[in-house]
Amino acid sequence: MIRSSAPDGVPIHVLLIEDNAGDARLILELLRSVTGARVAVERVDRLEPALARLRGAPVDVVLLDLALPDSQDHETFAAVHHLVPDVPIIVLTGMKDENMAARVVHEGAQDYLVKGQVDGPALWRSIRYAVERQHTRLALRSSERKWHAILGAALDAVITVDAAGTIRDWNPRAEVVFGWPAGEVVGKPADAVIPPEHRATYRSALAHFLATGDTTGLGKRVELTALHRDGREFPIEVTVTPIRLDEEWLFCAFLRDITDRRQGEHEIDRLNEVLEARVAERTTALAAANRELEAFTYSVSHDLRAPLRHVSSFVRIFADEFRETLAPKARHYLTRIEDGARRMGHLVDALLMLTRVAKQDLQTRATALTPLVERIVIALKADTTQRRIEWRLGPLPVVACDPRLMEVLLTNLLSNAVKFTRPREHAVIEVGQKTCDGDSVIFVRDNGVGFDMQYADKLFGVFQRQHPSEDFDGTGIGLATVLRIIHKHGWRIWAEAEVDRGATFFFTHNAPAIGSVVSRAQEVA
Amino acid sequence: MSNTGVEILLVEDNSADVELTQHAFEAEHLANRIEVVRDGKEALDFLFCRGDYAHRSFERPPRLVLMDLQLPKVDGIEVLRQVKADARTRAIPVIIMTSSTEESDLVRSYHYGVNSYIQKPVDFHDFQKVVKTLGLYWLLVNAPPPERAFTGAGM
Repeated sequence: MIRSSAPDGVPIHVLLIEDNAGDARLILELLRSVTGARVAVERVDRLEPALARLRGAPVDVVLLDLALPDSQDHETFAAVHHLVPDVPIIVLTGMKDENMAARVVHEGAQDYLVKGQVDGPALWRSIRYAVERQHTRLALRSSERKWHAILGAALDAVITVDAAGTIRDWNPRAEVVFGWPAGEVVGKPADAVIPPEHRATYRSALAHFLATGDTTGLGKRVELTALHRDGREFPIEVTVTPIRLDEEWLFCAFLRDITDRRQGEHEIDRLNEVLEARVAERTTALAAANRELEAFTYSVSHDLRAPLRHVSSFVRIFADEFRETLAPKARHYLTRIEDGARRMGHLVDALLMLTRVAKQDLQTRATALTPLVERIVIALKADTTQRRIEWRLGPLPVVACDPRLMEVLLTNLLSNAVKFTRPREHAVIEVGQKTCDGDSVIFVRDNGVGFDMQYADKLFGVFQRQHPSEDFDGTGIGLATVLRIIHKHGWRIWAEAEVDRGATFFFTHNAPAIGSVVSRAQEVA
Repeated sequence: MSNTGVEILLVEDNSADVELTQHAFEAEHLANRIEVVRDGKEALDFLFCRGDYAHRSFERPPRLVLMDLQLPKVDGIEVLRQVKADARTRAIPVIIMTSSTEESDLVRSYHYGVNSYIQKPVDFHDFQKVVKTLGLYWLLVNAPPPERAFTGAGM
């Protein structure tokens, strides 16, 4: 363990390996003579105990005499340096040998000093510098190792190329991506990983940047084609960043193989196509099934009309001609039959309307709702002269819709309001326009009997009723027809109500953008 | 069969409808004589004085034809087309009375020159009102086509 550069006041721990006691004392004297030099010197006189000592607690620097009783010359240095390569060694020897000096410094010694030719300050300086240099070197090495580790661990290939187009660095991931070991490509032209047809482009881009400094296209994530060692071309995503280093340009490329992603994208595209085709197919099948069902409903309700008309008509004639002669009980049954026939007549009419709405093509045009609502209200007023109904008509917009369907829709909602306010002494029915979540909506509000929101989801189903038919006659088809009309226009409808506190129906009247799968599915619903 | 006094030709295959229509006319004392045929072919024979009706004459057409659309053998639209295509029968007022609510039936009927198109009300009282109205109008209010309208003479 190497201590960092000696902070002030902490002495530098020196291991002096010197067999000559006189020389050792002389060295200590030299160091003591320097003002401010703070050293703790420990001495051993042979190589073996020195090595044993160095295996123990760390020292900051070794002052080494090459000539020891148990080791000589270069061998001494090599043994110590081998054992503690990170401890700076200053060779201190009795004879001046330039070759030896050059050799040990080359191999890592911090200095080569000749006894008797060095004074105290020079020795102290040498020791301090050796410790500093070693510290710097280790910090640098640690930093290098860290970067190396990072590049080695990177999941992206990291490559640097110099201004001449020569590969300088090649991390392990690059080896995996391109199939080239670093040793075989570093120092070679980057052409090795660029498909032939792209090489000219790459060279001119490089030249362009070097000539103009124009960084367009650099520092951005781009998708390119790369060349694998086995000749296969594959898609990559790459970012190239120019780095100015020691007066030269290096280009650092971070890149990854996106073959899997491309395949994934293709797979997604393919699945989407399959899905779209399937949705279209199902939509067609569903539309066909719906048309068949509509046709069936239409013909059933149509064919039911004639016999029903006969039943009600003959019952009527019977009643007209014989009611007076009938016993009270017979008259009661006659009334029941008439009621039943009338109800079934309404049902059949409502079913016919429902199927007609479904069959009808949407003929949209700008329709002012105010006159339409006024017309409906006049008709409803004529049927409700016995009742006290307050109609509140707010300003209504001009709406792009099929006016015939809009009339059916509003007639249904308004007659519902009339129907369900029947128990009210003073009924209030309001029609208006407001904004809901940024959408303009039309609403029809009444102060009638309302309904339990718990069953709101059943509101728009065919034959779904919220009240006993004895209390409020109705077919259970009206709101289903309303929903058809709403769907045909691509709108939305919902209701808010509370038992005995009235109900409000809201519907949007701006169709959303068409084109999504959802809206297509909705058309056939 | 007598060739005189036929005021209404009722073309209707359903006996219940025949009875109801007759009942309505009788109740209103509107028609003295209603001739009933049960399919489109019979209607054409009657109007074109052929087959069982060969003894009839084009000079004595019914005052009104009241016809359903769904008929056996030849449907109402085809009967209408042939009647309106022939100068000898063209002037006879033809009223379609049907339970059909198909827009296409309306379109085709008017295209071939129907004089009136009525959707049968379900309720008998309503039906009776309709019969009364149309009877009053076509048999009393409306000026019937003069004889020459059937021969084309003097045009």
